[in-house]
Amino acid sequence: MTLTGWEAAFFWVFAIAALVAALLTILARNAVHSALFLISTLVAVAALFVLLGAEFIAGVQILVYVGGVMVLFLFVIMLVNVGAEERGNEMLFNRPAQVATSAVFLVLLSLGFIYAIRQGYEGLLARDNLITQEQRAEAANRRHARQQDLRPTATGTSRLSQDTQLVGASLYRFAALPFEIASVLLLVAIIGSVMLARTSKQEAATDDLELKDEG
Amino acid sequence: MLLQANTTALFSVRDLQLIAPELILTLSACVVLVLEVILPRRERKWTAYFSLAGIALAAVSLFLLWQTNRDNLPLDAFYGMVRIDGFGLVFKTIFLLAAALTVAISLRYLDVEGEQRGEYYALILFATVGMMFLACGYDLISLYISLELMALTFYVLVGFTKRDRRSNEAGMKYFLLGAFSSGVLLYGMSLLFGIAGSTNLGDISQSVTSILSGAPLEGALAGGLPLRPMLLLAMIALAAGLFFKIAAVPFHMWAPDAYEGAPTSVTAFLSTGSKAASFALFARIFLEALGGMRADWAPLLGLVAAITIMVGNWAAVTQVNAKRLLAYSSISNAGYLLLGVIAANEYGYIGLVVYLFVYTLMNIGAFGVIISLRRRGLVGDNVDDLTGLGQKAPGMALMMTIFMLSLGGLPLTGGFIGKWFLFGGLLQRAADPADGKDWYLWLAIWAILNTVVSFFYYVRFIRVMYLGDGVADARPLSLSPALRAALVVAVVGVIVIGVYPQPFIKLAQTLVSSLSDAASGAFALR
Repeated sequence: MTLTGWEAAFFWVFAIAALVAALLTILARNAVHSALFLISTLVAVAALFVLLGAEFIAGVQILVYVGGVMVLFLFVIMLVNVGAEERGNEMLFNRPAQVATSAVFLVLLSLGFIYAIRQGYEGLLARDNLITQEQRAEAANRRHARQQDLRPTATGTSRLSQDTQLVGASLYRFAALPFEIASVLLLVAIIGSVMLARTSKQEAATDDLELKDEG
Repeated sequence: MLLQANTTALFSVRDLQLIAPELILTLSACVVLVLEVILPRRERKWTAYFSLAGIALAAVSLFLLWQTNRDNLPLDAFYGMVRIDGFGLVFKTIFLLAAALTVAISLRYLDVEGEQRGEYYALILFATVGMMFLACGYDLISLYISLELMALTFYVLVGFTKRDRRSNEAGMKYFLLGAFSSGVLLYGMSLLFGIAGSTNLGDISQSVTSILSGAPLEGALAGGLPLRPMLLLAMIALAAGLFFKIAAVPFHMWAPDAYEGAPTSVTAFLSTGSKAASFALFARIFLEALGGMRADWAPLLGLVAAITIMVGNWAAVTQVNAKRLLAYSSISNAGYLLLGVIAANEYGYIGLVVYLFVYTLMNIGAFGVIISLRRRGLVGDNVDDLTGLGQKAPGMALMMTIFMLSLGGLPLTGGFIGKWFLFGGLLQRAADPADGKDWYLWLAIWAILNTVVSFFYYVRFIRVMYLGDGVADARPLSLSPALRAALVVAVVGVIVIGVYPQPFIKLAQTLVSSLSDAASGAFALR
């Protein structure tokens, strides 16, 4: 898939934004700053998902990661005392063994990543018969034609995809039973956490109240 | 799957009827939660009796379900998420039995602990719901969610006695290792989904056989990477996750700590219900979904079973704490039960369900006796605390003797019948001309040899009770009627199955035939 026009411009803006914010996430000294940069990365990646035509994943990315996971991160940062590296104690993380391990892991990860991209991209092209230029152009035409069938959005400049609809339909139809079991699971989680977190004093207080009611 | 959404109905009444026992249990659990708040403190025991009534109702509806549908099993419901077949039904019966016995022995235990609270019974019921869905799930999604429902409930239950440090420690350990093993299992499931392109076990089974047969693949799988190594990786991850759940060596380390620290009634439920449910999952995944990969997983399971049987039995010999000893005994029993999965023939299946049934009875019974020793100020969970029980309470001592002999597998007890079929299945497999390898025979011999070792520590209980010096605790036992009833039910069950097993075997044979059809079908396809 080759990007052209505004699509390309937006892609480069968001891709670079995601990379820079990701770098800043690990370079920032202040943990809260790191978390904020991580949010920027996730938002930029969500924008890239929109460009790929995966609106639902973009929405989930924002709701779950930016909305849920990041709030948890911030809570943890607030509750746990992360002071050492803020004060500039670099020796905490720069021991030779740690650096060597990270370097090895980095090399392995990059090699694996490059291999996966090359293999995977070629495999995808071969699967979809996109080897010659004509085949690619034809596939692009087909995609455009499919998009013309979809309803236009409110602004009229783009089309609505049906992904979300499909996900919703299968979640509440085919996965209706696991969905309901999951609700029981959450109920158990609530009961369990309340029960384990309640102090003896609180328990005694409720029991006393009941005894008074009896008398 | 995404594109089939053309009807408006979410599910039919028939689907709901098929999961009626689970619905009844869920509702009873919710009512128990409400009762706990409404009832004054002294009347809280009614939550336990209500839970028992709920379990009984669920059992009745399970029986009706079987009666009305016995000729057209298996039935699929909820778009293939659930499959009602004989295999699932027999496991559900085991779970209901385990839950009922556990509630009955819990009443006294919680009284002694001063923790008589309704949430406990609600959690037991919720765990049972998870197990029942685990036994009838036919899709990786519903299986995983039900497994988590069961596991999460047990994390809470193991740490239920908050004021007891050992319980806290056990709960924490079990939670951390359990969450880790769930992650490994989920990793295997996602790999399997990626390879097969479906979460339905039937579809996975077909994909697996076609991948292994080397036939050219269609769709997204065509021309890609070689899939067999990926399939092996998925199988190993699934096996590792499940070994954790059934406490097989080398993933057994959590079991002794969790069993020792947990409230004794929870230990009883954990070692029977949770283990049976994990075996149901094991059989579903390995015999139905991965049935075609038998040549790959049978040696792995065989090796693990051999080590598990050895470590469980030999480590139990040196234990002092009775709960810890029974934990190691439960590890070795996981090894014996694995033999049924490895054999994967009619004898093996019958052995699996009959032994699990008997194991539920005798293990809960043994823990029930340990609970009866407990009183305020005395923990009573060391083997020595049983000293002189033969003089003090001959009835209890006799029951404990029967449970121990049955756990060891003495003839005329239920344990013997179960082991007979488990070992017999393996021998049958060894004699099978299609797949008769020598190591099946050696594994069976190894298991039988280790059974002899196991008598060593089971008999220790009996020796202490009858031949020990003096009486450990002179005060008479105070038994609640529910505990007494549970013990009697367990002992009668163990003896009846041991002396007159034919009806049970016949029933098991008809019920597990669906599984043998599925497994042999996958085998024939190959």
